[in-house]
Amino acid sequence: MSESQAGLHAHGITVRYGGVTAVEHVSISVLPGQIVGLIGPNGAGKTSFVDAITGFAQAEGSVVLDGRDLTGLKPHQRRSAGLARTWQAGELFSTMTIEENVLTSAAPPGAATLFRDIFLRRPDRRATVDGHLDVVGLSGRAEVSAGSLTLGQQKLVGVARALAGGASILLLDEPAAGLDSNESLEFADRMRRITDHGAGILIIDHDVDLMIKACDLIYVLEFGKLIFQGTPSEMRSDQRVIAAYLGSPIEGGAA
Amino acid sequence: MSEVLLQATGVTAGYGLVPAIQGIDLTLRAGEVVTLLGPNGAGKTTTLLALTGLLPISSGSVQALGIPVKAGRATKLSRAGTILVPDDRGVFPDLTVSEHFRLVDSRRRRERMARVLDAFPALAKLTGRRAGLLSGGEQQMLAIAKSLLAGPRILMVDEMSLGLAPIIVQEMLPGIAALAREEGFAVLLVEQHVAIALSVSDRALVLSQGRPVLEDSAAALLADPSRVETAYFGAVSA
Amino acid sequence: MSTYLQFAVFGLSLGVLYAALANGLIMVYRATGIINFAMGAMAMWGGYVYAFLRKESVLYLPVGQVYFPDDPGFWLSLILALASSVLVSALVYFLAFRPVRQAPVLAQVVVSIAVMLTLQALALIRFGGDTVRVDRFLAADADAWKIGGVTIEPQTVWFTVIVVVLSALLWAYLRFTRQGMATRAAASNERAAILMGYSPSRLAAIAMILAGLIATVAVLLTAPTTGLNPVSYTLYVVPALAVMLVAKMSSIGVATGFGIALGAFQSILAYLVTQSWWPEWAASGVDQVVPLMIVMIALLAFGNKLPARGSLQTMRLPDVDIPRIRPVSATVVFVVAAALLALSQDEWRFGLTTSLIMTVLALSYVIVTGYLGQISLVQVAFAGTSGFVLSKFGQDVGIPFPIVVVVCALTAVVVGLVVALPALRIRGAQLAIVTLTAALAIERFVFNNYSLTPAEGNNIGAPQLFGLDFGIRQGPDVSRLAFSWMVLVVVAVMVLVFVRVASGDLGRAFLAVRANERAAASAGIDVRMTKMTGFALSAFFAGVAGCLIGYSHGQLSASSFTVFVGLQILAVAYLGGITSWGGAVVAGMLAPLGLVHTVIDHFWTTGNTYALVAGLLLILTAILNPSGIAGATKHQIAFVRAHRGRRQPGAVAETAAEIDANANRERTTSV
Repeated sequence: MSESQAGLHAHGITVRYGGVTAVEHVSISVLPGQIVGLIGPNGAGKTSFVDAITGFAQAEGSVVLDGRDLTGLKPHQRRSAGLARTWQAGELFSTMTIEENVLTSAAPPGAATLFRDIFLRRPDRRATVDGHLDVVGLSGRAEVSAGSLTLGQQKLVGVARALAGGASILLLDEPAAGLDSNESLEFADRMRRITDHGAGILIIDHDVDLMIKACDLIYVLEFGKLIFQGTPSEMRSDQRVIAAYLGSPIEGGAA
Repeated sequence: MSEVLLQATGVTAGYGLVPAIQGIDLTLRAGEVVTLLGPNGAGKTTTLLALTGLLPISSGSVQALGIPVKAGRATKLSRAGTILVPDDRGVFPDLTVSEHFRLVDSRRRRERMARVLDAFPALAKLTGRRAGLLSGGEQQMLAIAKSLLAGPRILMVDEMSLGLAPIIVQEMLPGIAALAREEGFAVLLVEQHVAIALSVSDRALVLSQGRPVLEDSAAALLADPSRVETAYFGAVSA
Repeated sequence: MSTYLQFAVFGLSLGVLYAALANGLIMVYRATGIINFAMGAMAMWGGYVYAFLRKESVLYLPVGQVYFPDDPGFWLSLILALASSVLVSALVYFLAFRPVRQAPVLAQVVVSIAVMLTLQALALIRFGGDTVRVDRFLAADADAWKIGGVTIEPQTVWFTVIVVVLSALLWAYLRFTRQGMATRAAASNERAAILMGYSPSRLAAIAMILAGLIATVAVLLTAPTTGLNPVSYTLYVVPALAVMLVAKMSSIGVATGFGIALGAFQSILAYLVTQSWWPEWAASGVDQVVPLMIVMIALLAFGNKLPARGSLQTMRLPDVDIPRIRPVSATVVFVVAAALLALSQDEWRFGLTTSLIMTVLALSYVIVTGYLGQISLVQVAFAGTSGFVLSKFGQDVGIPFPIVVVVCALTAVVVGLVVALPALRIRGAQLAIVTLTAALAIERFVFNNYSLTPAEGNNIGAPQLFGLDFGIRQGPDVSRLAFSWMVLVVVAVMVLVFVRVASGDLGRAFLAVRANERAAASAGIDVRMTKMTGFALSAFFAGVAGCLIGYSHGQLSASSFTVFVGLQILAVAYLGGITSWGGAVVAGMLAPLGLVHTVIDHFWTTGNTYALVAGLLLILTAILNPSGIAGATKHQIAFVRAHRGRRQPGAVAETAAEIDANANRERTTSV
């Protein structure tokens, strides 16, 4: 695979905490327009992997986005390059409104921001914000305080915030936890709308049902290692995956 | 039927305005091992926190060893013998293994020390080592050992297998279950490894989205595992 | 060589005090997670109780006193002094520290500083500001030993031994007793300690009392050498904080050894600065520069490895309402203020003008603490730096009035950027330590430096623009309207700048960094650059205020910019509401020499009562509303309304969200 190819190409990612290897030589690609799933039991290293490629954890290996080498860059630089992420716990700025949360990434400060803030007229970004909120199904809620949302809604705002800075690849860490099954299905449709516009999505979730319905490709991690990659239907018949999720295999499983 | 140690009725609890668990009913009897199952975010840990007085209960009631459980009573409940091994294992990185043991009340400690070290012979060789330097498995052993040392009447273990190879849990769980039946304390497990947990349990309760969706004997669930898988995966096969 | 050794021996008396205070700080930190800035002030109390029992046969309690017929003697006085220490420690723990044990770090720092201000003010009221002599009681009649040209008083040996032994006992407590082990255990994982049947509050109360006892004993041992003084003893906590950081906030052994060594080193330094080769400009306050350098080095070396307490923090910082400019109300406020200045005279006009100036200084806290979330105790030193440069410029360089203020404020920005460097690596209470140490070093090394600042002060000429004189004084008029109006215009401009920034992209980025640095970085915000910008901006505000203070006094006086003035302004800024310009205005009214101060001063003699009341109010505010008055009220209303409405759990969240939306629409913040 050529490194200049569009999309995200993480190669040989290894994360160590103290003496423990949380992620071991994991390589993943996400192409524009694709929804790629990353699943695995608790403690398998999924979040560590996302932390590594977004620059929040020290790691070995290389990260290339749309042909640009991001290895060694700081988190905010990777973000500006188009690699956006959300967080498992939402991590919204809870004292701000939804709109202000989305605006943080739409307008991060640069060298001239102080001057612009004091002396220049403010651009009206309302339409942009509403557009992003519409994608995640929260249109008309811009003025609501983020701290008053349910966890599920907070994560949706997180997705809108990730979209707002202009993202070519979105990394979503358990975006659907806290949504009920109907909302999860709606969320799958929304992700498809995002990828239809050319972005790629890497999604971590425990909801296997959602993953099978939404993803084009699925990777499975166990104990920091990649144990499976393939289409959802291939995964459903893979005994190793069932074992990783439910412990040692149960005879006569329904899958 | 043996003595009821814990009785929870219609427990609802959560963080902020949104309840994370709703309408949990649970009875623990002396010598019984019960497993709490469910996918991530189903409310298993929240249930344990509510049962041990670490999280306020917004409606419903819990009686543990005759004490009404309320937030702020965690210290008292622990002294009475309701002991939780939390998902962070509750070990103290700066303290040595033997210091962990000495934190337990000395009268109980003397009675039980030999027996606990028998159950975890590996720890006997590590008494001078600081917990922060132990491996994950050794830390989990220490967490269980110090809890057993305190002489629990109700022992709750949250996600023993978190970050551990299944084999370690497979080795530790049967010992705990045997001790529970012998000494007559109750065990409530939260476990991801369904098969391992069910193999040592008497009963299991499956939670989904904070509500109980399935309760049956471990033997029945092992006999028809598709019921558990359905609760986990949703109606995938449909 | 023997001269150096001799001075090192002299330094032991302060050294044991540093060691004991640092050990007390470590105990309190490990048991509560709070940096006890009041450690020196708490220890000082027992020392005063002892001194006054021996001197006047009076037992002073925090309120009221007991008279003895004659001198109760050494042992009874000692026991009563130690008992007072236990009482003070227990009161401080249960009334101040325990209520904020799960509050945000800002509330904890504020409470601990408030206790320090309160105890210091109380000591000033009860015992006076003069240094109190304390008679020697250890080996008072024994002859000094001479060893190789070094004279050693037997008492020096005794107090060193006593403090080392007490430190060893403290170490043994933490190491070998069940309670001590549980204290260490709770420091790393509070929930797990609770699950093992321990009560963190009880452990913390014991640790506070032990900390108070060892520190009080050290004060009793040191006092005969230094005499008791409420300012210096309160501030001995600063070198002790440096020692605590070197001991990585945990090692009693390192703290004891390093504390004693620091005392000896400062004493040698005090000898060196008297030498002819030592530059005269660097002679003053150099002993206070040493702790600053130690703190900087220690934090750069292992700042991010210092232990954080694993407690359950649940509350968040005060909410922020994004300010908007409303031209009509802004004009009304401005005209009313101008009219009030015109109608008032003399002390009243001066008080109101000072309040206006202090508003700008409080705004610098609003920016750096309220918006950026960084706890800075050094803002007044920024103001002083700018005022100091102004006093130099005023005589030598002919820069015209409004520009000279900008230039001076920019020098404050430079100092601000240097002090901000540690903020890139550390946060929370550690930053409070650095900034407090820096504030003290700047005060002693620059403002109190007679070769830079003559005792009679540096005169600052009257500001003039287009031939108009905006000086504060002219003939018999000591508070001119022209000056006050000039201040009003400057303050209005600064408030306007603040509102523009606070409501802009930068203000939003500040709040994002304050709320969650990780999440801010993931939103594309350069956290380091944002912090530097915030510190620079806040230093600029402080610098402008510093120039105005200079103009209002007609000269630069070090007493306007002391550490305590800085802490009092932080106190009133927190009281007023640290997250809004309206809060800054309230803070300006409450500030030292401001309007409220003038009113009180007009009817009662205030003196230290002002400081005492400010301290007590601050403790109360931080405890009752650790997340800020405005934020708390808003959320209580939302909660109550939600519970009166539909009861379904899903609906509750909806309702609260809607009410928040309404609250946002109803925001009435305006200029």
